[in-house]
Amino acid sequence: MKLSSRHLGFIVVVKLMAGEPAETATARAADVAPEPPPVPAQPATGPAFQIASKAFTESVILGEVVALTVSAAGIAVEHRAALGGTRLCWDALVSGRIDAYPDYTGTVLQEILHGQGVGDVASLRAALRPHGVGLSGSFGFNNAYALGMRHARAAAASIQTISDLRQHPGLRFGLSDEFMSRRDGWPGLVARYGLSIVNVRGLDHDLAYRGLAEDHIDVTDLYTTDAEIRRDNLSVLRDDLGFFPKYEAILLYRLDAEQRWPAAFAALRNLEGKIDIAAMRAMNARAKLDHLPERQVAADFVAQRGARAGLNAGARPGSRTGAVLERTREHLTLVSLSLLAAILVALPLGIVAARRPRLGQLVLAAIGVVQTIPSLALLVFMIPLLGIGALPAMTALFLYSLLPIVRNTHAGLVGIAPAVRDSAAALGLSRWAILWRVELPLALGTILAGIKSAAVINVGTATLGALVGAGGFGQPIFTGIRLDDFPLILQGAVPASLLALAVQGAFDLVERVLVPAPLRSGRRYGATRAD
Amino acid sequence: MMTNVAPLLQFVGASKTFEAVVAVAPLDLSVAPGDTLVLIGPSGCGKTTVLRMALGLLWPDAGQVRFRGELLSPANVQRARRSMGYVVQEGGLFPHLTAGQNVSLMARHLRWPRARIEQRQAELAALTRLPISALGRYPFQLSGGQRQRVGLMRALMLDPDLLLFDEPLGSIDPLVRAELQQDLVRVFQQTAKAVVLVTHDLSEAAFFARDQGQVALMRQGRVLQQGRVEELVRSPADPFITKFVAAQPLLAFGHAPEPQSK
Repeated sequence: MKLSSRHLGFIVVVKLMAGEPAETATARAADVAPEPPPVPAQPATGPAFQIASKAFTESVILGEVVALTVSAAGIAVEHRAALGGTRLCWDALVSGRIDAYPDYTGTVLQEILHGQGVGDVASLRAALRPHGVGLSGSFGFNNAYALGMRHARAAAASIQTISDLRQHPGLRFGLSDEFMSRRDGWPGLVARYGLSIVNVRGLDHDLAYRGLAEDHIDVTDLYTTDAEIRRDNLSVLRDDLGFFPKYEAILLYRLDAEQRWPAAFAALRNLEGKIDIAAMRAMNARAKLDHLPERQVAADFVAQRGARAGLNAGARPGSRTGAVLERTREHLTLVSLSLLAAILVALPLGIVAARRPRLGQLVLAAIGVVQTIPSLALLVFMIPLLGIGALPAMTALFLYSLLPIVRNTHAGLVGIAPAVRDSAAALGLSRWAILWRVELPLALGTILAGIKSAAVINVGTATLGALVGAGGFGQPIFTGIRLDDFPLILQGAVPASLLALAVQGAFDLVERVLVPAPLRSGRRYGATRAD
Repeated sequence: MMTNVAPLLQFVGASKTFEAVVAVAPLDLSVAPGDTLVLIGPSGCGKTTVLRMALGLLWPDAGQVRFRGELLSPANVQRARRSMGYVVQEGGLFPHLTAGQNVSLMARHLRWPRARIEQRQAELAALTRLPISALGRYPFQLSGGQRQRVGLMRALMLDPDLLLFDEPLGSIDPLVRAELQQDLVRVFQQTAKAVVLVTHDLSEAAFFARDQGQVALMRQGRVLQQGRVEELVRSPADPFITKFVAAQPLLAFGHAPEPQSK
C-alpha cells in the first residue's frame, strides 16, 4: 500500500495483521460499540431479541436505533454490533442466531437473491418469505453505491459521469474490498460501462477517504450517505447508465421473531420512513467525524424524534477504567482458556508424535495445515459451527496454539540422547515413569518455550476475536480503524502489547522456577560433557 | 568359573540381527554370582549388543536370555533390571538431576524413606570415594572421573546382583583411569557382585579379570575364545586372537596378569 503517513501506515499494519483480504464477508474491519455498556436489557423472561449490524458505522447506528426502539417497547434486546459482512449476517439470521439486522434492498437483491427478481420492497419481501425472513419498509433513505473523486481533480479532468471515466484509463482507483467483489459493484460496473482501468487496488472504505485526501488515489467507491462527501469536498459521479440499483435501508428480520415480539415490531414500524438521507448523513458525521459513540448518536436521534422518556439511559458512556478492565478480563479469558485447552491436547499429542515417528509426522503435518489458514478465515469458519461470541474465538485460538506446543514437545522429547533414555530404562523404571521422571523434565525447557510462544501469539491473535463479538482489546482497535480514531486504536493496541510482554515475563519466571539450572539457557539435552 | 552354582545370567543360543547384519550369532554364555566376565573385541563385534540383550533393552531374534533362571521377557524385565546395575561411558547421568538425585532416583521412585536413602548414599559415596559435596552438583559440574563414580553409585543403589559396564572408562584420561580401575576392582571385591564388563582394551580386560575373571574375545558376533587372559595370549584359538593381542602393546606395561598366575 502506498498510503504513506505514519499514522496511516500503522492502521494498515493492524489491518494486515487482521488478515484483511482473506475473506470479503468480513473484509471491513469491525467491532462492537466501543465505550457504552450494553443496551439496558429489561429483566429478561426469555432470550433477548438479538439484533445485529454489519461492520460499518451506518449499519451500527441503525442497529442501535433499532435496539433502542425495541428496548423502549419493553423488550430485552441485545445488539451484536458490527457482526460482519452481508453473508455472515444473513447466515446468522437464517440460522436463528440473530433475529434482525439492517440491510439495503440492492444488497438483498444482488447478494442474497443473486440478482434473481426485481429490487422493489414488495418483490423482495415475497422472495424472502420462503427463507422465513421478513423485510421492513424503508427507513426512509437510499444509500446507493456511487463513485467519488476530489472535486478539484474531477473538475480538472472534466469528469462528471461514470461514462467520462472511459477517457481516463490511467486514474488510480482505490476500492473497498467488498465493492470489488460484489456483482452489483465493480465487476458489474466495468461490464456495463466498458471501463478498462489498469490501476485498481482494494483497500478499506475508511482508508479510501484518506487516500483521496492525500492524493494517493483518484477514485473510490462511496455510499451516498457518507459524511465525508461534504467534509472532503468530493464530487459524486453521476451514474448516467443507471447501473447502481437502489439501496433503500430496510430491516431484515425473522418472521418467527415478529410472532414472538409483536410489540417490538409495532414500534419498529413507526420507524419506517422516519430517517431521511440528511438525517442519516448527519448521524454518520457525528459518529465518524465527531467520534461520538454510535449508541449516543442513535439515542439522540431517537430522543429527538420524541420517543418515550428514559430511552437514552443506555447512551451514557461507561467509565473508561471499567471498560479497560472489562476488555482485559475478556482478553485474558480468551487467551487463558484457549491456551489451557491447547496444553491439555497438545502435550499428549506431542508425546505420541515423539513415540511413534510415522504417526508423529502425520500429526505435525495436520496441525501445520491448520496453522496455514489465515486467522480471520478460521474465525469466520467457526461461526456456522459455533455461532458468535467467545466460543468461536477461543476455538480458533486453541487451534492456533496447538502447533507450537506439539512441535516443541515433540522436538524436546526427540532431542533427548538415546543413552539417557537407555540409562533410565535400565534402572527398571516403567515407560510412564521414564516419561515423567526423565523425559518430560529434560524436555520441559523446550515445551515451556512452545507454550510461551503460543501464549504470546494468542494475545495478539485474540484481538481478532472482536470481529466475532468476543470482545477484548481488539474492540477498540477495530472501532478505532472504523472511526479513523488513532487514540482509540492505541487503547486496544497498547494494552495488548503490554499483556504480551507480561505473558512473556511470566513464562520466563515459570521457566526459572521449573527448569533445572543446567537445562535453562540452551544446553544440549543429555550432554554431560563439561571438560 | 564355578559351574556348579546356578547361573545368574545365561544366554542360550541368543542371536540378534540388524537389517541383515549379524550383530550376535547364536551365543551361549553363563555368568554365576560373583563371576567376572569381560567381553572384549574390536568395535562392532557385538559386545555391546550382548549387554543390551542382558538388560532387555534389545530382544534376541532367536534363543533365550535368562536371568536367575527365568526367561527374560517384557513382563518381567522391569523387576529384573532392578537387580542389575548398568554403567555406561561417562556414567549416562541425567543432566537435569544433581549427582545425589541421579543416585537416589530409583529409590525415591520406590518410595524409600529419606533416612534410608541418605544412609545408602553415604555408604556408596565412601565405597566409591566420591566427596559428599559432589552429590549436590549437576553432572556438567563434575569431572569425568566423578561422573563415573556417580554412575557406579547409581548402579549400586538398589544393591543389585549383577553389574553391567559398557566401556566404563572409555573417555577418561590415563591417570584418572588407572585410579578408577583400582577403585572399580576394589568395589567388585568388596561387594562380591557378578560383573559383565565390555571393553576394547585388552590390558583393561586383563586388569579386571585378574583374580578369577574370564575374558571372552568377540569378533563379528561370535565369541572366538573364552577363558583366562593368559590362555588367550598363550594358546590363541584363532589367528585373529594372535593379531588382536599383538595390536595391544600396552599389555606388557599395564597390569598384566602374569605375576599373579605364576
